[in-house]
Amino acid sequence: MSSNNNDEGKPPLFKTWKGWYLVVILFLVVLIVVFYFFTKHFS
Amino acid sequence: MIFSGLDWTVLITTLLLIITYGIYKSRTSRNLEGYFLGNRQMPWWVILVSIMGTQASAVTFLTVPGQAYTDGMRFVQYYFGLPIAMVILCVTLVPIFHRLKVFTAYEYLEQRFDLKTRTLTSFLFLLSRGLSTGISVIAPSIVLHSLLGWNFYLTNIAMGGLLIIYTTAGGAKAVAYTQQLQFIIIYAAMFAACWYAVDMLPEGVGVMDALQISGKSGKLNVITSGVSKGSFDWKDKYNIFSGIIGGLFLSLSYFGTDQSQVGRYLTAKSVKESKMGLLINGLVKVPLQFFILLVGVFVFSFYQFYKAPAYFDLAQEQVVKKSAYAGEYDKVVAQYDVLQEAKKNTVVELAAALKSTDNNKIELLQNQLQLQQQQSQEIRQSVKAFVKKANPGSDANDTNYIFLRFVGDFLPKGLIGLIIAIIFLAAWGSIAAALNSLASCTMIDFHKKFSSKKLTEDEEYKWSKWYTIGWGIFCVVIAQFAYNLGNSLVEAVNILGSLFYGTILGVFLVAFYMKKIKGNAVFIAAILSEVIVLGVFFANIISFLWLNVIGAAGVLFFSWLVQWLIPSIKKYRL
Repeated sequence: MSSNNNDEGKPPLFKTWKGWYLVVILFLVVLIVVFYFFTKHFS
Repeated sequence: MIFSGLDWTVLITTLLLIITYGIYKSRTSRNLEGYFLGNRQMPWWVILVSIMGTQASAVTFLTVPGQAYTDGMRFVQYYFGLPIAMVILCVTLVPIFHRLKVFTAYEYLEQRFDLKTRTLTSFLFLLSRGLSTGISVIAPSIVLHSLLGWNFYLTNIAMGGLLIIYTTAGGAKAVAYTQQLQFIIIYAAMFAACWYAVDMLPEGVGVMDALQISGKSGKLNVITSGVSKGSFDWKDKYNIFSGIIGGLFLSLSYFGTDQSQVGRYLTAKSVKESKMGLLINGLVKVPLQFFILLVGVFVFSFYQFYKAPAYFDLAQEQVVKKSAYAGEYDKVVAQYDVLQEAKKNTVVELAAALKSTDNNKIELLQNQLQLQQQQSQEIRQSVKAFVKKANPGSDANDTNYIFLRFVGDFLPKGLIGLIIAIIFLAAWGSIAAALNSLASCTMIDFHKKFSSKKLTEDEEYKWSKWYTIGWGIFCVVIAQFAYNLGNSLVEAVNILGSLFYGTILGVFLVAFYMKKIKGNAVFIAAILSEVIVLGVFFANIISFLWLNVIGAAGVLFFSWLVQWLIPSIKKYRL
């Protein structure tokens, strides 16, 4: 039942969907790090 | 709060614009595919806005800024699991739902297990979503009743009635397109409110000063560990661990198994469009939620320089003032006003000190501010105690009213009308999607499945409209009886979801990852898990976010156990 790129079409900007998945997760990590320093800076 | 002629004009024009746009966009083919899935023609950006509009209810815009005012920004952690859930769903369920061309998420369960498992999960969805949608209807009415004195019951009926008109007329397509327009208006109005809160700060106090003051008052606590007195507090609602783990399970359940969300991305014209909608939601949701909380932080900063009310709910305050506690109440409020003045002086001094390098003075003033902050909170608690005494059945929590009281007292005419309009629009966005999903499950999972009479396409279309009207009326009726829930309704909606989501998610996880498990095992496991979740909830030993984890883990464990025991039971019987 894994995802099939032929059925789903090529994603925009990246060659495979894995690129998008990585962007979403990395962005979350960056946000958490930024929020951590934001909290520390203003506390 | 004074609601001027201009405010009325803005409010009525905005609402009429939405209804007209909804009806205009509602032209679709007269069959189930057209009514419930908009003929599967939506591009990803419509899916994105529809998903976000469905999730963000009126209470999001009412309560969240108030939450930042009272509890700080840590609520944003509640959304940390969401981006991870978006990725998991794109890999797992989304391609399956599209391949099977289902109308409801629960159809997949019949293909994987059996009819009784599909019916049970669909029933759990109808139960939880039906009740929580009814509760959602009252959120705007309760606040508008307090601030503007509008009749609670008539506001419910007016709001529900207008909503039913365009939802019934246009189905999923009308829901999606109106959510687009609602989204633009809502965020534009929130941005304007934020701009005014900053703009009205005293001269010489800028954005950074406002943030410094809020930070020194403990309001910029975006990341918290949940550890207190050396150990993890399982009852702490919002911290990084409950946010990532509990939030992940909640988001997986909500976006993967709740038809009000699944129904939105099933309207996409391809898997690609569904995935893009969900992934971009994963990217923007946390920053947008951060922004709404930031509005509350700026309102907090604003009130450090101007007199903040001791209690924000005007209607409840009137009840106390007419009661035997009026004299004592006024004394406590007078104490609060004196303290506010002293606190204002500290804040002004601190704002000036922060621009210098005198760390000793900064520390001294910060400690003084924290002490005054604590004293303010204590006085606010005693004010709430008077409210409780004067009106014993009421909920004295005034978080829902903080932002709107600020809007009513300080924002210009016209903008007040627009902010009231966004309460309606946000409520409509989520309730319309819920009604559409409740009707689709009733039609697809129950009527079509259990009715012996074969319907024509046109009859199916007409029945679907009647189910939408029926669920709309049901929700308005629930709302009329739910008045006593008061301000705790936000939590009531979240808790209600968490009572059932974990179990439903568990069934889907078993379907996807445990290939050897059959229908009987997962059905028994779902019932056992639901009993445990309800038991844990009533025992009140853990924060509600963890109920999602318990429900899902329970179904996985019991499915494995029951499937393992079934051959032994059969052997024993023989």
